[in-house]
Amino acid sequence: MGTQIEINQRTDAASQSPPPKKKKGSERSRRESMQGVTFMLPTLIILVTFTLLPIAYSLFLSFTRVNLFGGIEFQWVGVENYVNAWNDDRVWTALKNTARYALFVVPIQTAIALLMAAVLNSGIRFQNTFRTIFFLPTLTSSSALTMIFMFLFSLNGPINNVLVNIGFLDAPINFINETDFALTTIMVMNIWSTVPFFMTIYLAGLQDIPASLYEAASLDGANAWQKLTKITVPNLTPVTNYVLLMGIIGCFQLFDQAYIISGGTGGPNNATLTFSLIIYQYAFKTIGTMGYASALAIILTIVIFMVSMLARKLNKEESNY
Amino acid sequence: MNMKLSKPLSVLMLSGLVLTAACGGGDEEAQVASDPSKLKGKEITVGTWKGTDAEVKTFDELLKNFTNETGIKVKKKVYNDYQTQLQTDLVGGTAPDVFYVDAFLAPELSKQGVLEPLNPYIKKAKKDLNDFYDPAINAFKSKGELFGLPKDYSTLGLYYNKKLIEDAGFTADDIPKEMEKLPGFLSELKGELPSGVTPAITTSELARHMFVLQSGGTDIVDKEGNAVLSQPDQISALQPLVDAYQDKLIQRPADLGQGWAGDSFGAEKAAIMIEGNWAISHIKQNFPDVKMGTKEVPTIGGKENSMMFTVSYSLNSEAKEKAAGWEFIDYATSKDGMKIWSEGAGVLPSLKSIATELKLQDDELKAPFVAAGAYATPWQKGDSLSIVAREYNNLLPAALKGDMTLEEAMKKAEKTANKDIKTQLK
Repeated sequence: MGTQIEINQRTDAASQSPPPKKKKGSERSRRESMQGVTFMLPTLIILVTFTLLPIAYSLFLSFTRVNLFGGIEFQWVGVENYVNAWNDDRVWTALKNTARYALFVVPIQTAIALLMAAVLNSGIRFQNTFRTIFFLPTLTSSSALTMIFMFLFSLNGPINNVLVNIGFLDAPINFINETDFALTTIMVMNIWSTVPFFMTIYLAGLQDIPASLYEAASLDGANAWQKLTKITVPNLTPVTNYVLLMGIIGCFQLFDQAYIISGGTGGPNNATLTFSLIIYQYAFKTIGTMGYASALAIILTIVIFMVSMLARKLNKEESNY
Repeated sequence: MNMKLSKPLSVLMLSGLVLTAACGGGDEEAQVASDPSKLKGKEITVGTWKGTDAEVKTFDELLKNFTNETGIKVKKKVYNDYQTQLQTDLVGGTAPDVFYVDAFLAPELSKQGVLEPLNPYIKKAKKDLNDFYDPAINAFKSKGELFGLPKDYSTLGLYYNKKLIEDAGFTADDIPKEMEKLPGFLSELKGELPSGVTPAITTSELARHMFVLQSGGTDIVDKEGNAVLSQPDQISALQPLVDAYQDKLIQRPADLGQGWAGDSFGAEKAAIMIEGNWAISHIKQNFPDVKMGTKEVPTIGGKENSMMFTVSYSLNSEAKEKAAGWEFIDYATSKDGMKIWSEGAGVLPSLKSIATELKLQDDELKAPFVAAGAYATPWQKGDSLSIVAREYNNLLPAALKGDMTLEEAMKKAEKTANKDIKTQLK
């Protein structure tokens, strides 16, 4: 197997860097391109081994029923795994949960990130301090954040205490274990933890907008809101596209929060069953269903691809150029 | 699942790897060394999860004694996320020679052929199996073959908070011995308890309810591996629990905002708890002021019952050092090894003679759990159990909350599980 991989990598490396077309006596340019290939080789090897091969392998697995234990046996089943997925209610539930989640989280996190970036770029006092503080959640691991949120939202936690004390609630709500609230709690948590990252990207994008535009607008008597909607937002469209894309991908791959809150079952009553969680269940919780898990992973890729393209279309990137 | 798995672990993963060599093809002969001294100097790897501090310490002691006695060296491989990592290791051919197998996983793993059948080894070594508790050893049997020897076991029992019960004007003897009378007692108790204290607490999952569902005689999985969850006798056995939950007589730890029942009981939020014996040391250590007592799980229809969670040492069928690996299993489940392990780690020994030797039957807190060793239902039910348990745990909360009737929820769980079993496992 090992040598097989090496051969693949070599041929792959060679095919990706065709020798430059030059005339005779180009000994030097040949050496140069050799050098180039040598420099790229480590990256190529890593890319092929850890990205391309696994993708190709899982694509292959998705058409088989496979048992990875002991002597590996592949049983070619064609599109059976995909047909099963189509008929699997749990897959549809997961897709629905995930879509609902993305539909709610992506627009809100994008809007908040944009607003915060605009405010932090406006030259208010302690701008840098605020930037640092707001960025902190991004540095924390998401599983640690989930634990913190589970404490905050727990039955005896601070959020319930505050809400009950100010008279907003009569009795504390079990945010984490009620079917109606579990997914919403995860949504809030995810918005809170991803906004700072996207805010930073927006901040970078804001630096590229020429100050003259704002000056001209001021002279014309535009107020802050008009400047935001007429100058900042249109100029940031490419950045917004990127943020939407990353947001959608992140949402569709939601796993750790759902896993921790439901203990891996996707309960209560499928309320936190996400697509990634289903893939995990079939890949690692039941033995011998790796083929089905691979098929689901491929489906997830296609779904993300389609949704992202749709979002890009809707946001009309080209209109600005 | 076994509580030990869910304890937070901070473990270094050092892997002394054993590469699987192609195992000489169809060598059915058990490799028991006729002269164990020939194995001196060999090295084996043993895969475990970390467990409590006492378990870590005792395991080291066990290994030291084993090496002294046999001259076989042992490398430890400690798993953080046992189930996922062990599977990955088995697939990658880097699994240890001997590893823990949770009874729950034993059928799935033995079906994959990754566990070495131990019958020939036991025969050659003339090991006596009669001393093991029957449910514990049966948990690792499949079609007459034995795929592991239990290192210890845990059972469920009933805990009560002495102070809360007495302050409410009852004594421990008032707690009914029959499940049928329990709800009545709990509602009496509820009126006398301080506000904010729930009469009883239990974790609601199939691992704790399997014996209840099977009390009417219907197994939760049929011969073909299909889920059976909604038969009338099963529904009527489980309905009292749902009713008691809706009357707020029994709650789940999550309803009280806690991670597991042991913490709720320790925080004196519940007067009675049905839990495994692992809660004893947890409560003693973390809530030393709580005065508790234990009893056996109340009988259902006059029959004693409980759940048993057990873990074996099993031999990797691809192990390089099978003979040395067997020596370790033999030692760890011998009277000497078992005594060191259960005394040091504070767990229940899977050998009856050691339970007697350690006088566990007279231990005030542990006695009910030891007694259950003879009759408890092992948490193991064929290779489709993980799917059945997943759907049961997913849908039972809907019935508890009243979103669905119990029958609807169980019908849905059964249907979903069976569809999945049919498309994925057959």
